[in-house]
Amino acid sequence: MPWRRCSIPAGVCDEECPMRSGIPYLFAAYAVTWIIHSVYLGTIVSRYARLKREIERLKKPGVRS
Amino acid sequence: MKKAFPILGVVTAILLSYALYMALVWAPTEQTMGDVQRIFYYHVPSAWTAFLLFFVNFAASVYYLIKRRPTADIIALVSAEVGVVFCTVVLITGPIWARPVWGIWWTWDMRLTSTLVLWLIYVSYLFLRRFSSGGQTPVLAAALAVLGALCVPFVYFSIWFFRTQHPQPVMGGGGSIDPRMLHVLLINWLAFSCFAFLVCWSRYRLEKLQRDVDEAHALASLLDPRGSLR
Repeated sequence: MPWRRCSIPAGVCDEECPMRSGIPYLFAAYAVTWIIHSVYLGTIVSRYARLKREIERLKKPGVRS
Repeated sequence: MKKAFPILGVVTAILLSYALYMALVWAPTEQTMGDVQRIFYYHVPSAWTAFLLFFVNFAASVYYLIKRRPTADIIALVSAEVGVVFCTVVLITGPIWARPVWGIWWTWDMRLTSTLVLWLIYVSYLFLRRFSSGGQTPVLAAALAVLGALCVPFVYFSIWFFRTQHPQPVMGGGGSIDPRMLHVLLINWLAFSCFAFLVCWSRYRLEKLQRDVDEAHALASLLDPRGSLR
């Protein structure tokens, strides 16, 4: 795993761990990807719940929009 | 169809987990860039998925312009929206990868700029869908989608025709790739494609429901004696 290989103190394994400083960027990219998808899925779920409530309201007798 | 949705959901979750394992653990470390190169397994499949969704948007828009089927209009809207989400991922993961490798977050070269323009075209498409209420909105949006789709091959082939800082394409370009890396890349693309299909399906159901509710509201206002359309 990338984070395990680079757990050796800085300066000891510079040749074994090229771009040591790249690890935070890697995790940032993966985290941002899933944050974007989660936020979008969250908006879909909340809109779906709102529409379901709206439908229930419309189904009640005597209710007009 | 209702049973297929959770099954596909489980399959997609397993595929995404497996693809993540392959990208972070199984794939070999690139010699010059090191582990930061693993961003490639999210950046490139997201770009391919966005292009695929924009192509679906193009096909559905052309079909809508010819046949005027509401289903085609919904598919066009949904594919554009999900495509913009994936394109946003590309535009954010790209600079995160560029910073440690190039030393800069962004450069105005042809590939990066054309991708940003493509994203802006589809964002304007979504703004048009969201804020225009005229009866001609789906037709105007379909026309814009056809023009937007012309930008997709330009973005893909821009690194062939222009001198750019961006690496050569993995498929059909001058670049070469380790077979194990290609294997992980294709698994990630498959996982993201399944995920995109699942999201599109959910969004399609939501849009259908939204249109049904809007129709019910319109009908109710016609029947309501206090309504404006007496």
